[in-house]
Amino acid sequence: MQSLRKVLIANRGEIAIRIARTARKMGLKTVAVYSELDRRSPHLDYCDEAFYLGNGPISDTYLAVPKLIEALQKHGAGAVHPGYGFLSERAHFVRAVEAAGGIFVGPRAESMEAMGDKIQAKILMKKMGVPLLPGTDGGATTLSEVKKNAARIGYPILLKAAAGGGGKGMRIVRTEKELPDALEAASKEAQRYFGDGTVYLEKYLENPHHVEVQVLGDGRGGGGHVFDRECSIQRRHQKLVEESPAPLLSKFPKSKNEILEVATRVVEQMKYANAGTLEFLADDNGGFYFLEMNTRLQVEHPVTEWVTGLDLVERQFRIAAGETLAKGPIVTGQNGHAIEVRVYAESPFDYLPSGGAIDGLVLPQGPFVRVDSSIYTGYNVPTEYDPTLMKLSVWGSDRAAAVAQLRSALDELRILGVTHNQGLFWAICRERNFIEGNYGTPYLEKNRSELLKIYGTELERLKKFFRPIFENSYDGRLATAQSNAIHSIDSNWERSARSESLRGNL
Amino acid sequence: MKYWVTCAGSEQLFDELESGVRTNAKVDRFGSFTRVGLDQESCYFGVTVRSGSMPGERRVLIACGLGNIEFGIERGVGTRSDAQGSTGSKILKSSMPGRIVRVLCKPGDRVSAGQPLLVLEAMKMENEIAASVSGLIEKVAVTADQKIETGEILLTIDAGSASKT
Repeated sequence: MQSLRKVLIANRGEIAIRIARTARKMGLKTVAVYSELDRRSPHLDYCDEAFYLGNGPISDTYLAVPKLIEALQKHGAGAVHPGYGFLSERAHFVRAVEAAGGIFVGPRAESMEAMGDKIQAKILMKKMGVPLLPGTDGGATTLSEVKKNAARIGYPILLKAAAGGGGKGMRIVRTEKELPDALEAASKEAQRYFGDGTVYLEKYLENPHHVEVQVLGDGRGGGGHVFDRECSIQRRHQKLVEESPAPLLSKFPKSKNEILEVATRVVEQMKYANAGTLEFLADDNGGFYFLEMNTRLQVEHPVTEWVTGLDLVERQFRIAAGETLAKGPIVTGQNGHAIEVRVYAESPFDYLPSGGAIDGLVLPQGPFVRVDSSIYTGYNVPTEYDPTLMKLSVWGSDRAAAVAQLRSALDELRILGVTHNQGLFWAICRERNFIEGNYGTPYLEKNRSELLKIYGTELERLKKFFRPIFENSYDGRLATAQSNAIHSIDSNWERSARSESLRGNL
Repeated sequence: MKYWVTCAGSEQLFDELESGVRTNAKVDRFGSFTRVGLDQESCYFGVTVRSGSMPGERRVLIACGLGNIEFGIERGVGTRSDAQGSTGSKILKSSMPGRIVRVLCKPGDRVSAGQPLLVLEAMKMENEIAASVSGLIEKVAVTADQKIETGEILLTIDAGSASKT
């Protein structure tokens, strides 16, 4: 792996640390990059060298290609690992790295371009025999055009930004009457976030499941699928809980075989290089439809690593160094079951972002528990970046064992200071539908009251316990003040119940 | 069985715990951490104390399996003054950090409850902030493109003026 002797990690946070760990294991040197806000970020401690990107918004730091190329050359790195997000799926970055003589640890620029345009991606997938949701092949901009297409597909429909992702520029439309407003809003949002107001239409599934297939390719037609994941528990179209194997596909073995075969076929026909993920929507009967292909490592890759025993980042490096793969699946089966939760700096039930200091931290440990984090006691969580505090993942010999392991790990975890969503996961892994693996993407809305009940019951228990301890705080001598002393232990739970009824108002 | 409460950065609370104000707690201090053992089950919690927004107010945050839960504790009685209510003036504060995208009202505007007043972008999402009461906009404390923190005052509405039309 001569050419990969030193690797620039063009990212921050937990994923930069995760990449640095594998690099170190493989004997590769690492170069971190950091912005002014990240001077004290732990990803610097995990790398051998560091390059300062300056002060300013992400466009002047983590997205500034010339600075990253300067870092590559100044530190004599032979390769770049982009992580996820930021420049990980930008073809122009791949070309800039290659023009500077570096190896990009990821797919070819052409694959990114082919999959980056969601409409072109669907046309290509259709040619390869991948099933698609009924929808428009091309983008639509005028109201009459959209109206005509919506009538053909049948309501409800989903409007989506052609150049988008991550839930931006998306609207569900249930009747023709809602269409004009929804189209305007989606198009405006798409213009704002992606510089392109083009939207397209799709049939909207009422209880869809988000299933996906990890793939690895060697760029010459070798490689194939690395099994499935399900990421149906989402808020605002963004994932919160991920599992492997997908509970839905476990109920439909025929669908599972088909979806894995389809993914392997795509790797072969595209001559896909490095790691990627094919995302699908699936219905309650196991029917699946291509959604998009992510040409990078996914946030939720640890669940695949748990059940396959692969280090996906190591595989990425090996492929980038020229390793060839046999045609077909990379491993023969999934061992046991893994679940990951994304602990975000946001309130558990109304998803309000938060920031601030971590005053104390106790991480879960012991068998079958993995934490990918980038925080420490005393760390100040910036609000300028992704709100991830950590990814907590667990393994069990079967799904029930994995759920039990998750409950235990969440009972151990303490993150003191900043508001975060641990309590949501605490409730989810005690909720019947989740325990039974019976859920789709509307899970959080559908089970909201039950989740609040589980959370509230535990809160009541804690309230009873803490009241006598803190009742006397600061005013131990003022016995008369006791009855007024405790105002708001109810805060999170009752506030979120209140804000639910006041949604839209502040 | 014992409950263990792990405290960080709350000297006053430690002192009070150690001086035996709470007879139901046993206290050991290990460096900057304090463990409080109580009769009952076995568990541990992280505890920190912060200043509240009102003079003399303290917030006790406790980290547990549910995340952070909060006690509000006041020194003395009746020091908390509520800016909402008595004067009819309603202060709108930001419940999240972010950036003001658009300001949709100006001082002197008559607004009705539910009417959008500001658009706030946080974590790449646009959030419309609507009036919680009907009234007259007294003051707008923010401008478009301004970065704001949680708890920052955005604007004030004179709710009393709603009926005076």
